[in-house]
Amino acid sequence: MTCRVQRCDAVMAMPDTFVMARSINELRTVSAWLRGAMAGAGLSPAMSYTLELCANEALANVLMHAKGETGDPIRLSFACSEGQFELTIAERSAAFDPLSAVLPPPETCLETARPNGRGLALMRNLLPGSRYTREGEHNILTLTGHCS
Amino acid sequence: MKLSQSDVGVGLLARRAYEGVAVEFDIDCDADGVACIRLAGRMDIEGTQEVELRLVTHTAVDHGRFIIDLADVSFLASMGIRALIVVAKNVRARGGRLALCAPNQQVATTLETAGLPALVPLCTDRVEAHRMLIAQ
Repeated sequence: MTCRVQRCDAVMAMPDTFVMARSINELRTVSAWLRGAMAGAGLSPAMSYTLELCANEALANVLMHAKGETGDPIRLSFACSEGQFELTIAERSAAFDPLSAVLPPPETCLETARPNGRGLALMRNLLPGSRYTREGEHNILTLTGHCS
Repeated sequence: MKLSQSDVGVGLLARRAYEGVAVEFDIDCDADGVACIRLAGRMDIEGTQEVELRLVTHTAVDHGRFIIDLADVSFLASMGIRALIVVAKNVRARGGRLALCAPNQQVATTLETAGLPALVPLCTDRVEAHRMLIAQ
């Protein structure tokens, strides 16, 4: 189940919000919503791609690895002002900070390389200004960067 | 080792009817026995699920030489990268070689940020990839 809560292109200080069910099948719907929001805010194509990728990685990580009570939908809000965007992802599950989790070192040998585990590194390297907070039972991840 | 068209299947497609979901997969084999696999579409979780089995199946030959052409891949997420690494490892384990080529700027940035060029050769186009594979 997907429902659009609010849409406000004209006043970008107001967040554009979206609620998604906890399903991998929702990711493309979220991407489509986000592309629309980013286009309305005037993000550059390169930054739009980066944010879409990082949102995809953050959500995939939640959908595949979140622990604890995970039945609630995930709430996203996008806002842009003064050349800076913020995409906030709020979801209820066990505390997990994707920005400080220990990542494996870079690999140089194909034979021993792990296929998995590159999503968080992508997110952290591509949007280094992002931040995480824990509010009550919710993980709040804010992906942020410059619109250009 | 030389692949024939019947081995690799020309024009195999994994498509869906609605826009934005289709992931194309086709494979062609040149006179030097280098198979070029062209992927097109979104290599996110859903798209990768559509093509991963085909990728693994059609590269499961001994001493094969493969190019994966990414020119028409519009989006590459970590699940797509995972699939590329799995295929590259399988090819290497069978004594073969694989190169990636022609990603667009954003996909190239994603690959570089994920450290892929340290594991799998990343070439600018098919010609460079073919030359590299033939030389080895």
